[in-house]
Amino acid sequence: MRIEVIMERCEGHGICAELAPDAYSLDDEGYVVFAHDGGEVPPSAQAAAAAGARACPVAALLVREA
Amino acid sequence: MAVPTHGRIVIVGGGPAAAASAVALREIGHDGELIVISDEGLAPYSKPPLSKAFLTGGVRSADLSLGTADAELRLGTRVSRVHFDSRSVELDDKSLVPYDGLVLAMGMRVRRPAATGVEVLATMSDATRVANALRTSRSVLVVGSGFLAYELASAARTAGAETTLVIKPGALSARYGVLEAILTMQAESAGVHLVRSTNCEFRNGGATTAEGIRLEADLVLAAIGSEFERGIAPSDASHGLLVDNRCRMRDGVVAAGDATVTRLPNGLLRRDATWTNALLQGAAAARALLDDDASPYSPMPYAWTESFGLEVKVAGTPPVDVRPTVVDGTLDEARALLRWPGGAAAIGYRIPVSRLKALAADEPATLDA
Repeated sequence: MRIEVIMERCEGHGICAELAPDAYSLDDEGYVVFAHDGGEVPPSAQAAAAAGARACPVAALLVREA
Repeated sequence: MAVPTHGRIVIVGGGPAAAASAVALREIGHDGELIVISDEGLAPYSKPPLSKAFLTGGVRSADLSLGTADAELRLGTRVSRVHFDSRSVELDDKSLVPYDGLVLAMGMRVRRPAATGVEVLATMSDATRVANALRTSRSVLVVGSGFLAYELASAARTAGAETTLVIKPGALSARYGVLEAILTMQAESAGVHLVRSTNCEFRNGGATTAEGIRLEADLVLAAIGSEFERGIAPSDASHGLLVDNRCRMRDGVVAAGDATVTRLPNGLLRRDATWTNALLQGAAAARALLDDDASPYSPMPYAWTESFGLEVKVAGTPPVDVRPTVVDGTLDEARALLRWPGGAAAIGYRIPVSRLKALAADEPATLDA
């Protein structure tokens, strides 16, 4: 599973990082960054990563099932 | 006492707080049975888009699924009672589901006017019906004073309908001050016919205001709030599920989402019925259920809306009787960063929520972007 981020949409709500700290964190500005390179999510964090993406109120994160 | 990680946890509710609890429980190592019981027929899904892009065809329902980790979902199932002392929930068919830990996340009951031909927007099935109706309606009447009412009026304008919005003047400003003036200005510039009324009664296919104005439309939408449904709550819950600063109600029972209230230091009860709170409180409740030393949950209130192409974010609790300071931008152009003592708002202004909250908390702000 991969997550894609549409940076222009990110408003820094931070809900993704709160629900899935193993997949997302926030940069110094407060916008989303991936915890792993390229949005590749390890199997153990996938359920949380998908929930974190879909909970984004501005749909800045897209779940791509490989 | 914390619930053992291999115990059975039952989550009552199928909204964002329930989904966030389920995901968080697995995230922090709960490996026992996890059962989500929801009276809705659908697995938890994201709601903010339902009143926005979903109505105008920009988002498909398949993209909204929230996921509940590997919880066992019992959908379309009603809990009729909770036996707190013997630790089990009773379903409509009288069967009992025992639990070691319980998360109450059943949300509130959305007010649905009794009149026929009046739609509300609370669930995916409501939104699907409304989206279909918008495609064929030449005129739309929206009644309501909150953010949702403006979002619905905005969707109606985007769909090309002649749109009337009935608001109760002062209802939104009682909570968000100057935002009411900004949103009504936006609505009117987008061509919405704004009617201000102290009260409004729904009649089949329309509404009549207290001032005697009869309004009719092809599609009538009510966005008139929701109320706490006592239902399965403990008998002493009158305004909501009272939780402590770790979302706990009693031993082995936590609660999260719109149905919860917390007691403020001044003794008053406070509810934070927002999307953000439902998710974050759901996760916090999960942590508190498994860990007696979980950190307290005391988020700064935060709300967000988008209508008529304008995004509005509010952090903290802006006082309604103090005019905000314009930190950056201008209100005339509807692009401004506002600050009050104890609150801050971004009107059509891009700023990460963490920085908006810092501004509201009066922390040294870094606005050098």
